[in-house]
Amino acid sequence: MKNIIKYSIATVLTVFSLSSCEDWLDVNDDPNNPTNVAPEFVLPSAQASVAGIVGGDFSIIGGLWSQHWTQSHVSSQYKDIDAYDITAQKYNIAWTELYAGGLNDLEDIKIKATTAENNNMVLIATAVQTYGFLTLADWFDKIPLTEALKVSEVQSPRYDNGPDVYAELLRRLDETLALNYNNGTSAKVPSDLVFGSLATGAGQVDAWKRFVNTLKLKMYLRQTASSNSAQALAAISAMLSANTPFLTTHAAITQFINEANRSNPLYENNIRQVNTPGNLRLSRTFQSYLESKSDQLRLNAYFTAGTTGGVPTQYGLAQGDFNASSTVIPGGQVSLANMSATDPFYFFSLDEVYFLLAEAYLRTGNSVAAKTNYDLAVAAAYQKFGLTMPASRTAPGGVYEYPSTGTTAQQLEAIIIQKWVAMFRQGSESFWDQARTGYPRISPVPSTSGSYVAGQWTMAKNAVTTSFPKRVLYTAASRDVNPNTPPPALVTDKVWWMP
Amino acid sequence: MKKFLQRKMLPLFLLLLTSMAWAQERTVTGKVLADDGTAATGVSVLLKGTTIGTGTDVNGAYSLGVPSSGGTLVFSFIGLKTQEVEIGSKTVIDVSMASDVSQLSEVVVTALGISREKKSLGYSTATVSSLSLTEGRNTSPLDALNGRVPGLSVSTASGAPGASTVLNIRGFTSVTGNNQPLYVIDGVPMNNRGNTSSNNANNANDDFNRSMDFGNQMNDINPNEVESITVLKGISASALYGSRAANGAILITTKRGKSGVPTVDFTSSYAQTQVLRIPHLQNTYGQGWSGLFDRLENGSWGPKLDGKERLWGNVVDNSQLLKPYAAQKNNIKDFLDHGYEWNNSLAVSGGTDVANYRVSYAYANADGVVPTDADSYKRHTMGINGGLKMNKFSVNSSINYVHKNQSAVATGQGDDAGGGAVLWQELIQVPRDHSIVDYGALLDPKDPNYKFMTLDNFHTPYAQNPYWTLTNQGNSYKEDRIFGNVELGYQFTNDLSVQWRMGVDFSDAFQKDWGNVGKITDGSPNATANDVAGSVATIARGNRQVNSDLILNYKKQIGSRVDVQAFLGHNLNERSTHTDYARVTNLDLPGYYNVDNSSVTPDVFENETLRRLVGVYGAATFGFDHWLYLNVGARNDWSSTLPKGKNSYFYPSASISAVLSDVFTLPSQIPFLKVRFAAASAGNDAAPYSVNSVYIPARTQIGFGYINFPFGGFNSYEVSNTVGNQNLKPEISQEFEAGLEMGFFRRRLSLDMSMYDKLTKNQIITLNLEPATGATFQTVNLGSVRNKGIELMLTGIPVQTQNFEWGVSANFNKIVNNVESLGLEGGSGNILLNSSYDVKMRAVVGKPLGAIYSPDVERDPEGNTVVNPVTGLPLQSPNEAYRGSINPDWTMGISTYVSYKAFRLSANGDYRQGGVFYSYTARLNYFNGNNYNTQYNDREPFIIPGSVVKVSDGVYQENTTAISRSDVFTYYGATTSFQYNHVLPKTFFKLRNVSLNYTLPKTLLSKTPIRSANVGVFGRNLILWTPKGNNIVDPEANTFGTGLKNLYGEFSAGPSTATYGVQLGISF
Repeated sequence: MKNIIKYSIATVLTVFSLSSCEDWLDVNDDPNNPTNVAPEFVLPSAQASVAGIVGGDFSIIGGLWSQHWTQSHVSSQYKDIDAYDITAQKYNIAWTELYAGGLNDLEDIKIKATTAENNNMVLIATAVQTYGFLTLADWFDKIPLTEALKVSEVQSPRYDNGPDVYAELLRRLDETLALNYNNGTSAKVPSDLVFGSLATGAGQVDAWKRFVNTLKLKMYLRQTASSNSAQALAAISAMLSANTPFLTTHAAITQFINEANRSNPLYENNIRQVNTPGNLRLSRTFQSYLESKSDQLRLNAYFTAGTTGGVPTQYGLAQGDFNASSTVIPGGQVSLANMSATDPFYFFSLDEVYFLLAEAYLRTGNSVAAKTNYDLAVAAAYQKFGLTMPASRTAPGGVYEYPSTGTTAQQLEAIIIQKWVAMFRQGSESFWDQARTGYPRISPVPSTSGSYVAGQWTMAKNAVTTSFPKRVLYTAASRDVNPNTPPPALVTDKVWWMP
Repeated sequence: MKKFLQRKMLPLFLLLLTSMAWAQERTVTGKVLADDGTAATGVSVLLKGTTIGTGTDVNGAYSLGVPSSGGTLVFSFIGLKTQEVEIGSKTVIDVSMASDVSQLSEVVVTALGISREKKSLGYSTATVSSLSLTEGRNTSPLDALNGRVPGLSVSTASGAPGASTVLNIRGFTSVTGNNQPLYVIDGVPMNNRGNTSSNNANNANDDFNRSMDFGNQMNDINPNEVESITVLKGISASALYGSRAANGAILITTKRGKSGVPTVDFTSSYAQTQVLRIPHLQNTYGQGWSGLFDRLENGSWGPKLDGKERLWGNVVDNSQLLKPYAAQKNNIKDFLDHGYEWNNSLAVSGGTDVANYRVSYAYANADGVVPTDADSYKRHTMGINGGLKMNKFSVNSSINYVHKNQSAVATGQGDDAGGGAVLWQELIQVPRDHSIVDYGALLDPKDPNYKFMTLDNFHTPYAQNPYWTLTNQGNSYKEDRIFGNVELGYQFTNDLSVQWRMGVDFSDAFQKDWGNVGKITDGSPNATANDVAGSVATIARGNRQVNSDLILNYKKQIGSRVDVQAFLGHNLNERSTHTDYARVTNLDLPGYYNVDNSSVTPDVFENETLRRLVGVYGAATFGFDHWLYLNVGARNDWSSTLPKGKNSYFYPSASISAVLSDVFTLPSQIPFLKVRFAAASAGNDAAPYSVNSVYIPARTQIGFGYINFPFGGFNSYEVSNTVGNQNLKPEISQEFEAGLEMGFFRRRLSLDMSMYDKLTKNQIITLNLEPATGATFQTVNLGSVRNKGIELMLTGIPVQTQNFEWGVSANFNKIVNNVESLGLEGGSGNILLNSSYDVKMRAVVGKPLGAIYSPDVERDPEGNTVVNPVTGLPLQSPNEAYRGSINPDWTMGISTYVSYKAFRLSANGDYRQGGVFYSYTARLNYFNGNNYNTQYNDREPFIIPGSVVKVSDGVYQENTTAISRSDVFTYYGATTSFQYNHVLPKTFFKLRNVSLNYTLPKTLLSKTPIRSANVGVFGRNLILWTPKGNNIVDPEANTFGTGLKNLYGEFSAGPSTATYGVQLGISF
């Protein structure tokens, strides 16, 4: 017995002293998560990340600030946005998901694809990443760019000035377009959610080059009212005269299904995951315009009518009138914004491309091409919602006829207002267009006034500011940890390219 | 103490008496008195050099047969000086025994299960006896520690059965890491996973999502099997446990069989529980909004209740409900019912000189105050332990099995896209004039009112019938757990022995949570409300811990003045966890709860962790003349969670204790005086897998909701937002402690005081990064937190006579907690720890850890509220207001007992002063007009008292604009600055336990096999007092898991409960 004990203790001691070596402790490699993932497996979520924020949070604010829709008076989700009462916390998620999510993943893809010389992959990643950076730059003005996405080197990245951000993004796009796509290693990327289903790699490269050109065009047009206006117009002219290929299809993610967390981000964000689904209601601004043009077709496609006296009737709430009494306006009276789980997310919708071209041609003096693209744009805008535009609309004498005989300003107004009508659920674009061009015009009176001109934008009823908002605020997510975050801005401060 | 020892030693006397069966030639009798003249009971009287002996009875009398040759009698008792008297020819020997304070010291269990005399300890420990632990008949032994130990805070999440209990020793120290003490049972470290679970798989209940509290693992110990719980508070006490006890340790010693005839102990208690605290609501205004009656609203912003009959709710089949517009004061209480709690335990134990055993079984069955068994708790515990001592070899072993089956009512935010609404949220929103019980017509389709209560037709689209919520959701948590140890010992020589202890703690838990699908018919009155998608989630969770300690003990008396007790040890520890999770939403078949029941892609998740630790440690205590003790110790750990090659860390400890009363002559009123000093440090390693950067399965956030993968036919990964850190170092805590222990009046009164200063630096913090860097978190070593504190414990027996005794014990604890640095000088200088509706909990330099900030109204330099001149509503300040910390300023606990003959009445309670917490319940009650405080100015338009309007910069004038009638709601319910009022004071007093027990007289039982029996009544949490600022919720309520965030507050937590019952204990 004694010996058994002695031996067993000795054995135990030996085992222990041997096992205390580093091998036994070498168990700190995470078994749950991979340490190296090929870029094609990172791309889908990176694209989804950009789509999710642009098509989710920024689609909601875009539509509110474009006066497509307004906050319901029987719920409260977006009261702050509709009162221009934006806090620094408001876009923490957007900032975080874009930078630390999509854009960082795209950076990882770019680095690995550059090493592997898959320039098709580099092109896709650069295109989507630039699109994401641009969204941030247009909402926040200054953003970290040159020092961004370098966590091991820079933990407090500097914010670059707006013009520098534009210049750098355009430089990156040009640099990427100049890559050699016939190097034999630029393989097709089937996991690309946008153009991955195209038959060939060459087709995919072509589609993304068109995407990049369209993005460049949008960026130049954005600058037409800025101090960069001359250079921008020159660049537009150059692109048009060089017969630069632009998108001829939607650039969209269409794979959404009606399932929690796999749906269109606007639907998921505003309907499925919010316990009160009726927040976004028809704005009287938008209603008045569409009804003044007898555009019931689109009004009914965009909004489900409420009931007045038991009869389904389109009813728009004055913009921002979320404190209206529900005893005066019953909750069910106001029309509800339509959206579904399977709506596509458009990086660019085809009508938007035509509108961009119409404006580009107009600004470079080609009024004929402007009209052609305008007509294509309006028809495409109907088509986007499964509607067929009655030909009479843009035909001579039609309510949406292109004012070919009008002044350039009138032609621009027609293009931008039609774009506004078309950008339902893509409202950020029409909000920026208004801030840039002044169209639709600002109403001096509320939409309830007798002298109100249909379609003119009205100050939100409960606005906390005395002028229209221009931007969102630098986020708390940044300010809390980054000493280089610029001093707080006001929601009414202009983005650099705004006149 | 005396009684305790007496009881403990009785079996020994019995044993001795049995060995007296030999020829007695004469008898010696006598009486033993203590030095104050009272009878000394239970004194051992032994014939020197033999096993012949007896004990004195309650009158101090004894009688012992001795050989005719006489001999020497040895009188001994702990606390009295041993006396030897030569018998000679005497037949009566009376002795008076002097007290021996140096010997009076208790023996306490210290780190690694090593027993030491308390007087030799240079640090503070506190031991809570089995008697205190079981007098309130708590189902969890941890809950019974409430208010008993200064420096130990006990927070019980809710009144639900099996709710989790969070223990913290000497304040929070770790900003984002672990703040929980190490739990040790019979020398073996235990797992204490918190099972507060929301529907996210990683068990991180950090947010306000719908979640359930299935308790924590250390609550699943049978209190009846606990001999004592020792709290090691300072690092010097716990340092030898290594990294894991940097926050102190809770040592649980279980009961063992004792030599003597087999004993059977049976205890049983039955109790009822009822609601202790629900919000104090207004009863003046009824259903409606903006001051107007609205039959569809779900709030009490309507007109004054007038008692007149009104139609309400929806028109269904051309009919509508009618009821008086009058307050239903107790509508929430009426909905709830009485819960019960039934605890039974049986133990058989016994032993001989060489062997002992104990076998136990207990069953706890509880049901909470929510109707149905939606909140219930069933627990079986079984244990077997035994020991054998043969010559130089000894073996002890125990094995325990726990099976638990629990259901809990969800708290947090409802989730129509998943499991559905949260019962508490629905309940506290009901208009004050509605009878909730009447909604119960939903449960009986034959009820004429059934049709008004369905999802389609319920009176409001903004809420669900609580009965629908209650009966269409459920969950179960089942856990099987085995833990135990084997301990082998061998005595090489008198001085040297070796001990090897191997312990395991394995558990597997299966959790299922479901919510039914609830489709609302198109065209029905509530068609605008969301359908409830329904969901089923299953989580399988396991954890394993294996621990081995090999300890070499050395003990030596050097000469007559110096003694040495030393040991050297080696520790191996391995902990592993696994989690498997699957969840579907959008159930197809109503009422069928299986992850099959959906056509949507399930969310799945798998996670495993493994961590290992090797430790080498040693300690030595040098005693001089039995009054001065010097302890030195050191430990080195190698941890698998730190970077390779940099994973070793060393920390020393030292302490000194001196029993000054043994060397200096002190006034006779102070027979005992001990001072002690200690200094120690301890390291704390990181969480596993913090070193390397990884990719994670993609999940992109879109505001509310996500785009999850697989999506569009593709799987995807993203670069993890948490960056690895190749330079991670251990977190180091340093503590200095000084203490004073005094005994007065024959030690009838004693004082134990400790002061400490603890600095935890190189904190392993999950630092928020600027997202523009591409990452959001990195685990880094930054910052330090200092805790300074004072702990006082005063114990006295003011009255002690033969039949009557009154004892009282009071403790006081104050901790000054301060975040000294966070290493974030470049940024905002703070770390956000938790947040809900703009009320934030932060770590801020210069503030206590867990500082609460809320929005505030804009104020002029005099502090007056600045309002909007148009609406009269307050403007919001651009700055957050600091509202205080989650930590109390000080706490106090009092316990007392009175025993008279066979009766014993005991009570304990605690008071906590200061601190604040967030209450979502307050928020919701303000929002829907149920809050008592919304009745200001009869809800007529009012000017905010003392408010001003801003004329120009720095110029303010008196405000004359009243808040309009329709804005009265806006003021309380929809103004961000009003969120100031959702932060409530944490001050409270709770009467934790009251119990009255009666021990049946032995004479009554002499003809039965029953050896002893007692019966009693008890009550728990009978009284809760809170200051005026909190008429809403129990300040202990919390719904945020088991970490530091736990103390942030509550998000629609359930009510706390009071319990009262009867109990019976019988021994055979």
